Amino acid sequence: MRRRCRTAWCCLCLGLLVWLTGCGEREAPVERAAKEGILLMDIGTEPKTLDPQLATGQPAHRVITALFEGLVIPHPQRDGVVLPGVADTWEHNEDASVWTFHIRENARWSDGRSVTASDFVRSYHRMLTPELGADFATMLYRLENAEAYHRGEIDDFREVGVRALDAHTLQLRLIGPTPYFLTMLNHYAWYPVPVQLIESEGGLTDRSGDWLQPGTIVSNGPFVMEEWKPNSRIRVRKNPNYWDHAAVALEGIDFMPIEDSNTAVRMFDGGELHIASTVPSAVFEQRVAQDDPHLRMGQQLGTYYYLLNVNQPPLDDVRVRQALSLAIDRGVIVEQVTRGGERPAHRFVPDGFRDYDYQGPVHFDPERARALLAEAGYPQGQGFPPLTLTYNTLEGHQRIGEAITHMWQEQLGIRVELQNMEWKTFLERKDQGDFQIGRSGWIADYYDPLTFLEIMISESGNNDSGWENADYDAWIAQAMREGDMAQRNQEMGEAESILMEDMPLIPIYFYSRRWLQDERVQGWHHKMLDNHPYQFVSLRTSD
Amino acid sequence: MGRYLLKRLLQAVVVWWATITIAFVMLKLTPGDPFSTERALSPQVLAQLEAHYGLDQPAWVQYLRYFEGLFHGDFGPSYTSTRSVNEILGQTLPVSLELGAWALLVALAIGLGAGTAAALKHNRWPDYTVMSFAMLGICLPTFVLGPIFQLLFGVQWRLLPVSGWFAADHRILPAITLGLVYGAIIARVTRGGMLEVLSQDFLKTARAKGLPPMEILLRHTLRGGLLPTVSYLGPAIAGIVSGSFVIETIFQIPGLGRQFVQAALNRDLTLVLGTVTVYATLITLANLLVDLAVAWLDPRVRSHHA
Amino acid sequence: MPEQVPPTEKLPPPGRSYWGDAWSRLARNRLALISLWVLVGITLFCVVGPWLRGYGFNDQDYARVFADPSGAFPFGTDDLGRDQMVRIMVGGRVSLGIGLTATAVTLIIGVLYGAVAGYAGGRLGALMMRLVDVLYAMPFTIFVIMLLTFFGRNMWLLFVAIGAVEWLTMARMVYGQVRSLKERDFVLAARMLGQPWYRIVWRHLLPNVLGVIVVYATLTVPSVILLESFLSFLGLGVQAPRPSWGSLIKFGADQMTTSPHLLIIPALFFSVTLFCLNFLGDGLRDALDPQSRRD
Repeated sequence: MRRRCRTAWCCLCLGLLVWLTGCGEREAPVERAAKEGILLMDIGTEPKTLDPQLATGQPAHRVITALFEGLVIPHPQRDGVVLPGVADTWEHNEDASVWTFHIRENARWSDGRSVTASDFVRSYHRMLTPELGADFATMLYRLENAEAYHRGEIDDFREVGVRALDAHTLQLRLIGPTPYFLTMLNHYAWYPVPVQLIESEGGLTDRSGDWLQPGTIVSNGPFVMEEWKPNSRIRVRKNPNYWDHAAVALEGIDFMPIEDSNTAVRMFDGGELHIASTVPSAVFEQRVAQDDPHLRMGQQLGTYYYLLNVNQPPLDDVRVRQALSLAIDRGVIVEQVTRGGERPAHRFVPDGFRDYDYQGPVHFDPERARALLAEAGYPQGQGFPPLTLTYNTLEGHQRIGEAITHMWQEQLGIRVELQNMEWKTFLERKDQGDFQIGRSGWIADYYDPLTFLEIMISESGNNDSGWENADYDAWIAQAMREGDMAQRNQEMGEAESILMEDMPLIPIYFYSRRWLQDERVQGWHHKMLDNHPYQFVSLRTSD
Repeated sequence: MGRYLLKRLLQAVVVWWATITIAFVMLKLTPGDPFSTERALSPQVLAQLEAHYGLDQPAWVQYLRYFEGLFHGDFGPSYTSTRSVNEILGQTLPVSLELGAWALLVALAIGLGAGTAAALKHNRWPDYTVMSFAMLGICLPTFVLGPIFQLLFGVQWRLLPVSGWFAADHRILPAITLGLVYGAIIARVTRGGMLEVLSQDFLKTARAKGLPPMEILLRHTLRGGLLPTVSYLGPAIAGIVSGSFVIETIFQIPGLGRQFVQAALNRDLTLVLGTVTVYATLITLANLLVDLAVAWLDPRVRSHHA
Repeated sequence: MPEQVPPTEKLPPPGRSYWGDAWSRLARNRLALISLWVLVGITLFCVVGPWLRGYGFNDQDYARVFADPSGAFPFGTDDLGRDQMVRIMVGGRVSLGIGLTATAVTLIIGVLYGAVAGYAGGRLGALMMRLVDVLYAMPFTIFVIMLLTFFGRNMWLLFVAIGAVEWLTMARMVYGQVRSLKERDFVLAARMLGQPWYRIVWRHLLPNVLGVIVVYATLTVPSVILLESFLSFLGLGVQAPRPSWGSLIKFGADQMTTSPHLLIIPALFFSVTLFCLNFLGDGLRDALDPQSRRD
């Protein structure tokens, strides 16, 4: 019996050895895909929907820009610059409040039908229909009467500022002068959707998205959907009916939802991804040290901040709020804690918007912080009531929270408890104002400082701090209708200085973007908004 | 036998009902709603959404409606996905079952073999070696083991794909990672059970009678010694099928476990209830099979049912 | 097939001498004894260590982040420059505490429940086990999220929550064992003699399933410790900055390519503890069941 066992073991080992050497020469998927012209990239999480009018979040964004095309498309390299998309030319009136777009004759849906001006009108009609419940309907509030229609105050959609002058001419009337309107149009809320198809597949306000299934979906972008395996892969292939299909170098893209960024990095290292879209900071440091040629990084238009509930004592005292901010050494946070190329925040609006670049007032000054705290009645933190810093569960948030509460303890002598919460609970607590200090972050929707500043106006649903300031609201309202860009920047700057003076939020750092990119990928550049028109991307094979 | 099965079926219905009801009540009491995101929704949009999914109705109406749908085999729409719950379950369940089957195979192969071997060589070096490895399997959390396998087989040697669920070779690493943990536990339980039986007097009698050792093992020892193992298979199957969340995340497998945790965190009530129902069914089924197997293995219990 | 020979009837353990015997048998098992001492050592290290070590578990120093093990920091430092040694000690307190408390909860509920259900048998037993089935099929994540959101994040609650989930398996194992044992001759004899049911369960059935219980309990401690780390993964574990072995290993796993010592050292403590728990469990099993030692 013992001998038989030994023979069996030998056979097993031999078999393993043969198998190991036999399949050692696996061709890397990146190489094989590059030969076929297929880009392999990860998109983070599984998108809940790909309906451009219902989608939210970066993962959906990455896929939607492959499938659909708006009036204009983003420049492959430069932020805040657009190129002609479905519209080949456009003009606007003197104060930039009425825009006319000329839709190119050869713009087609993937079923061969022309893309017309009325497609846009009907799409925007659907988007603004209250029953649809579109998250980003507010993006369209720039259109005259759109808000009233969406709120159900008017019933006639013809009063809304969108009209098809003829089959290929679209006129958009806006609520005020909007010189930066084109960059807003890059957001997928403004994309056309195949209204006819949606109507036949369950109706206009149906959220079930039957029309999005492969084989059914009709789109107008450079790619069409071939396969959608939830939590596994979304596969798009070149759209032969795309107006500029000759210029599209890729044959297709495989989008893979990969929640764990460490897994994405391992897949990249294993030759299974051309692009790993996020790099954890520990890996980032290591790759920087190794001088990894695949590592890319750049700024991102986003701010990480702590929101303060100004209705909760002692946070109702502006001196306390200022003291908390002044006691944070943001240089240490980005260099020692986040360590991923982030930059210390000096104001709420992140750096990177052209012509809106001034040095903000937020800085590190422990002396002044202590003085302010003493003025507020808590010298050396004596008598300071216990506070709680709430964050949603994530290693990174926890580390930053640990570091900052440590600084407050060291510099001000005050104790702040950490409390982590599961995401949905956290959101509800924040929404109900049931928090003291809450971790927050904001990423730009479009290329303009307003995308940040507008969330702190009194009536904004995103302003959970309880802070209201009539002057701030007035400056923002004025900036929204200002035709002169320089004047406008001035007004936004005034508003922001009020915000930083009152400090209902403590900016901590500006986000950065880090990703891994295979050397075969060409034409993929750093974009602060992370919008990459795939028609400019190509793959080089190694031979 | 038929009556016995009928009785179990009735029990299963009660299990389903109770499970769904408890889950429903718990979810209704848990803070957070399915539609909230970092970007606040306007109150109108939120009201529309709630009306659309019938969430504006009182809870008991929702509860009754859910059962009404269930009666027609309709699990309802998912709140956070464009697909219906039926569709999602149809896509993810086969994946989890396949992963579970492979993992169970790995677990049984490792566990039974190692456990029996260790019991037969009790307190000698094969016992210690096997049990040390089994311990290693138990001690290393899957979120450590999985990445180590990925790094070695996927990145270092490039023998197997790092993650995904497309071709046959995508099955190997996750099945082994998931199976190892349960294999290690099965090895320990088997060893315990076998030792229990090996120490009993009837075996000594059999040995004294001069029966060949292989026959003793197969005819007498295995039957009784495997009882704890078979009893453990119920929880093991339940654990493998429902507890594969970490594996499914690390290896990017589009399975039920990942779907369930996402749904729970998203407060996607219908999807949670749907997955819970499927789990309840699977677990009920696994328990039934295990009970039948125990009855078959242990004549005393068998006579009890007949 | 030759007639199966039933096991000899077990005499009711005669009080002290049974446990005394068990202890002396355990004392003869060298491996189990070593494990016991190692466990005592680790426990002392974790309980007493933090007072002797000069650092607090949340003392941050950015001048020494990710330091490799050295004289001043035998286990290195983490990403915030905290001494990993003291963090492992404190993490050990938390993890061992959770493991023991939750296992105790598991044992008390699971064994009693399983034994009663198994002994009662029939309709009541089946009903009791169906209840276990129902709880088994419950969405555990939701259950814990609910508990922890409603009642606040209390560490003791966490222990109880974990124990309350883990007892199910224990109940099921005990149920199966008791059910097959209760038909045996020695139980029948005891019943014939008119002994009350609780006495039969306590004196005749439980000692016979003790082996399985001990083996399973030694497996429960590590699985509880792992469960805690899974909860930390979901953000419902021990509150930061307080560490647990599970959360230290989880953090180490993310840095395994950059700072392997952050994974290896806590994993080593974790594994050695589990190894010892198991050897001790085996030793206990052998000591408590005189028959398995005789061959």
